Amino acid sequence: MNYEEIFIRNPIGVRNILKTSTVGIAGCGGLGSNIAVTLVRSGVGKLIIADHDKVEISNLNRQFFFLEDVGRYKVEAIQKYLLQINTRVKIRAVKRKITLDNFNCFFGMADVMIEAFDKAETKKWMISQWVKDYPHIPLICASGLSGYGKSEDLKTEKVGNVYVCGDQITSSDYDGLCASRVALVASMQANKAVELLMDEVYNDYSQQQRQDQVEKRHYGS
Amino acid sequence: MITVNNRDKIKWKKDITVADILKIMGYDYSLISVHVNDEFVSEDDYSEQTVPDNAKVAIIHLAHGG
Repeated sequence: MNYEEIFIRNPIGVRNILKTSTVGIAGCGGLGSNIAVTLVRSGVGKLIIADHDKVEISNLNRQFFFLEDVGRYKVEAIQKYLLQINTRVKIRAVKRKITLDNFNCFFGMADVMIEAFDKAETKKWMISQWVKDYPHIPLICASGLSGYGKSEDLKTEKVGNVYVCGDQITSSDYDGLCASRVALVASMQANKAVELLMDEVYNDYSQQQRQDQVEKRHYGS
Repeated sequence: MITVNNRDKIKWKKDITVADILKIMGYDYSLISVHVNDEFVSEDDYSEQTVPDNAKVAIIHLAHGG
């Protein structure tokens, strides 16, 4: 079996670049579980995913879990499914609550970081700490993914090295969470991660090309 | 002139702070992330940090859900 055939329909070059990339995902709920599946299908080679929760029956309306997973740690359940898509993907599943004090231990190696928490307070400290500790590594957040419909209100906003996907208005406290809209924002985050990883490599490649041209001019080909 | 969220314009004045801008815009301090010219501003600094003329201020509203 040729595992690379999984990615034969990918855009040209994407798999070769993504398979050497590491993406961190903080949270494995409606956002994180769907993001993880999408990134593995896209060809990302290594994921670090952290969540201390176990699957509950109320998660099945929007998270990438099944009845048989209820009671299992979310990161263990998602790891199983990710390996069923691509047995060669490397998954670091962290069954710990992510806090200000420990997130560096888990996500310091990420090329791109994705915030997939549920609570706004947690999203807030993740942004404030990430921009201080990792000002040159992108952080892709989500805010405003509740309710249904209104796809046209969803956007990705960039501020420094922080990207925010969603409408920045709707809240699960008032609007509820529906798979159709949660999955949209999860895909927006995953899509931005793929875009940034591809851009980063292409930019490096361009820099190398530029350097080669400079050397040719100075020293001849 | 200060631009907020690529949309709203606030007249710049000397020593205007992040806290002044949030007050003008009607934001309270909870569950937002503020960035001036792409630089994150800590909540502890809202009252002290002045905003330069022609600055671009981003106020990200953080909503529950995930």
